[in-house]
Amino acid sequence: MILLLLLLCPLALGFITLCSGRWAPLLALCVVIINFCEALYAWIVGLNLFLEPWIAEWGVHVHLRLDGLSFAMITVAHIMALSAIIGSWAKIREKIALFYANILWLLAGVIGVLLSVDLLLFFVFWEIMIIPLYVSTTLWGGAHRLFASVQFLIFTQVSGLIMLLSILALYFAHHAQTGIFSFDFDILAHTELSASSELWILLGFLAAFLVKLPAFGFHVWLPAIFEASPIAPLLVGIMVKTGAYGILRFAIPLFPHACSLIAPFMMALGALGIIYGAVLAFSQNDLRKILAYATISHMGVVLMALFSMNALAYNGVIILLVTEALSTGGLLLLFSHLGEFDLKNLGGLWARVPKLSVVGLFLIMSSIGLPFMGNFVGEWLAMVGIFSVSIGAACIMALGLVLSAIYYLRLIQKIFFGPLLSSNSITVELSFLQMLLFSGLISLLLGIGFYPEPLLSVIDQTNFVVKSGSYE
Amino acid sequence: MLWCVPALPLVSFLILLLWQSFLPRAAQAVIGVIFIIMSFIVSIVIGVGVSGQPAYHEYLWTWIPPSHIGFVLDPLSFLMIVVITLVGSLVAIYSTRFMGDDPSMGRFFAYLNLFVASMLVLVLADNFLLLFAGWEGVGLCSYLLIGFWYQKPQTSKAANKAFIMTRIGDVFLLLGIIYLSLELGTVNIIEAMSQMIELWPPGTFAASLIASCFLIGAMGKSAQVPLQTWLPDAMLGPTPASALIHAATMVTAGVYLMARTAPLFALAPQVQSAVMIVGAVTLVIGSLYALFQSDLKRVLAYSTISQIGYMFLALGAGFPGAAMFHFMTHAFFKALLFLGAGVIGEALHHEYNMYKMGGLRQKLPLTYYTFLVGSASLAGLPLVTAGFYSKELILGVTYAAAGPLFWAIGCLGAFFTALYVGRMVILVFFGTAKTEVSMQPGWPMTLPLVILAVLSIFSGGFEGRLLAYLGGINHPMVDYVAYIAASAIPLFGLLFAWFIFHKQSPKKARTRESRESFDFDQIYHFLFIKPYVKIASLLQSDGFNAVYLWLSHIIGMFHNLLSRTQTGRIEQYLTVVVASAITVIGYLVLS
Repeated sequence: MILLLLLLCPLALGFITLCSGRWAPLLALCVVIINFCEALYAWIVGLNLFLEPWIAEWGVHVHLRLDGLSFAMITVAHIMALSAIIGSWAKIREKIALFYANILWLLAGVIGVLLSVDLLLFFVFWEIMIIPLYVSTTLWGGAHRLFASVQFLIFTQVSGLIMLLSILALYFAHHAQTGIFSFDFDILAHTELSASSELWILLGFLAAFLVKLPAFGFHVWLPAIFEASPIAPLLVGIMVKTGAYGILRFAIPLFPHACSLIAPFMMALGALGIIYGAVLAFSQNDLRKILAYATISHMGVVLMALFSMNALAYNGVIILLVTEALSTGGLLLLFSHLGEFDLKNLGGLWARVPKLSVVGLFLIMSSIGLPFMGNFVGEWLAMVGIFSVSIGAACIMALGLVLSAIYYLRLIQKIFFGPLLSSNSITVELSFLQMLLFSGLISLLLGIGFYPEPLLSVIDQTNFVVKSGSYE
Repeated sequence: MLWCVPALPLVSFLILLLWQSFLPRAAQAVIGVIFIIMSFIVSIVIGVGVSGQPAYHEYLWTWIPPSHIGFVLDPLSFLMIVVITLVGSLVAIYSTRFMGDDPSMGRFFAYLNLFVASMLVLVLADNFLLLFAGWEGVGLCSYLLIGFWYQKPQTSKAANKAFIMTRIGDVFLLLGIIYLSLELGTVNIIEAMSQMIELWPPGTFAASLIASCFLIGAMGKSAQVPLQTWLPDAMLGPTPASALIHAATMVTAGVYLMARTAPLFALAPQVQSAVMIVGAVTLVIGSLYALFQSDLKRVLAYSTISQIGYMFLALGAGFPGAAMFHFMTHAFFKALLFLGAGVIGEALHHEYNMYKMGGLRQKLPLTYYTFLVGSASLAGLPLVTAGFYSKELILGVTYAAAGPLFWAIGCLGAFFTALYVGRMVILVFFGTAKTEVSMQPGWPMTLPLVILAVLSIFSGGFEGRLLAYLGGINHPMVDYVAYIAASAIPLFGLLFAWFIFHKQSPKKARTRESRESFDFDQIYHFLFIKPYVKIASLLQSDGFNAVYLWLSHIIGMFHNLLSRTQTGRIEQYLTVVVASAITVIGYLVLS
């Protein structure tokens, strides 16, 4: 029951927020905090299942499950929602209530995606998640917001529809075999498929996940929406991560044979993403675009690790998803606070806003992957996993580490170091509330960096349905 | 208790980072110094307390499984921590005056403490993963210290260069560690070493591969050819930071790594000889470059590169003890020389060009004498200096292990070393004064100089005891002719320097500078940086945007085509309906 509450609370309270006018930010903040407490309670007490029929004759159930993977990502979702609310505290001046309601609905959608066991339910939330982002970008976005949001909508909707076709194909294949209509993942996982149909259905799922990831070639929507969206931290923090989540939760357990068949291609795609993202991040002059391409590069690592198909790499991926959300999300938040995104107009900020600069330096160093700063834990595990499968792939990941140092140091040099430009007028030091928020993010990253054991033990309680030895 | 050694400077770093604005400047300086000194005292106390035991372990908590945060104290790490904390303390004391007028002194001390803490983690780590953490921490701190005066564009460039070049080595080290952990199933250093001796015969592929990765990692950190170009540029940071980077932390990390994993290198003979070649090439190239510099600190930087080359030579010869002995003496005399150079720079309004110095013998007498001691030790003046004993030992073991060729290269390097040392001392202290001396150093600056000068002379006397302590290798028996020849070379070099540089006019000397134009930097710029920037600028607009735009164009064309059929004229619609009906019926009838 509490899982359903976890889902409905932000959804329903979103509507109340809509009518709360000036008080919307505060209300939204409270909702997020209360909701997180619910999640924490459900996790600690172990209320981790919910199963009720929805459309029984079609075999659709409201089947929710909270396990290590979903709990870790739900936690991150709440943190990022909190950051997005605090980050836009005084910045949004029009239709305030709708803006914060949007954040809550987005959160609800993400929680639904992370809890659903039923594939149709999963698809519904997958689509719901997109709408608040589209709305918030078109209403409050920056430059080229219409183009960016429509592009985003088309990419995600088209790929989502392909996934729906795959879900239906799997549904009917299972019915033909057993005579039972069911969308439940636990049941569908036992479907026997011929090699070719397994491959085709997998490709349908991957269409949606690779676009969301985003993988090399499917990435063009990301830089555009990063530039336009007012809630980009939330986007990179959690929406992008649902692509990797989908592969880990559904694609690999449902279609292990087809996955190992296409694993080399997927790893190559990941490798291309690592290099391409890194080079493009180096060539950009807009802070948000640099971070967008950096995300593409990081997600290349995630894709490579996912398709190296071993338990160590999966652990690495989950930790990477968490820490990368915190560090890149934090950076986006920090930059949106600057209000100036063109590298040409920045420089020498250390002299003017030292606190902000220290926070920025830390988050960038964490993203580069320095030990004890969070990301290293996941990178190490992923790299060991990848190395045990393919030395060449590990070498490309290593090359990515060098290239990431190059574009991130360029970023530090252009923003914080150098002479203070007379033209730039940035004098806004972080407020107390923001300092609190960033201290929280930094402590979390340091905590994971120094003592990853708690997070690893949460991940260990992940409930994978094992089908012919895809997980050890 | 052992954890206190790295934790103390870390605490100081945190205090300075978090409460800097609440502390008066004097308190910042005291905190910056006192924690490193405490760390030094704790090191000595623990070292004396556990002497006799082979190794003292301390586990703290599980980190990334299977590794943990754990430290080990054995003779090698004890030597390292003593040198690091001792030199670190002296540099910190010196900095209280050197950085005394800098508005961001607190930040400097914060970095300095983090630097020392990282280095201590590196040398005390009992597993490779934690060692790597310290390794990266050292890289980060050197980046921060080199870029300390961030307003100047060159400093942040130099800092980036240092970070990226060492990072290239770092990822090789990381790959090596991963391969080792997958092959042996452990990341514990001591366990891994004993296992590989049992499991792998000499010349095993795995051993060679891992050793090569470690070698490249060490070359990056220790600034060996061809990854050396970041070190001379690193001079743009504050001088005490340079002293620390060159003497106790950072560049010696590579030497430590290879001394620590000496059994691995013994299993990979080809890599072992590669180490030797790298060392030999570096020591000659480094000393040659040092000969043509006009900036005092750059001379010292190239001299560090060259001296680390000697340590690599000893490691390649299979005598890590000799390398560690030279590491110790080098730490003392190089720190002394850098701190001395800092005094000179301060006295001459931040002037480091040697052609604008001269005649400082009378103006800065104490600095002159201590600097002279350091120079003599660097040149290896026979019998009286520590540098002589350690360099002789390296030449001796090289002769014993690799024959006369490498020995001759080492001697050639020693000759060049004496030559550039002589040139440096003559240009700085002799001749006519060209810049006015504006200040005299206070006691916080001179005290470290004196202590280091004493150590630069007498630390040579520990040779036998140190080698026995580290693992019982003795001075190998050397051909006496070779020994005497090698001892005489520094003297020749110094004499030669006197004759060349004594009466040279600065004008003529300055034209020499142009010969440095063909440089590694330019090769790298041409081979890597330019193509990379070119590729990046070609890809900048992200071609996939065009692909998808084109796709949407095609879809748009179909849309136009179809929408044109919706003309709204009934007669056209009827024509189409009738025509298609006829076609369908005709098809059905005929088939």
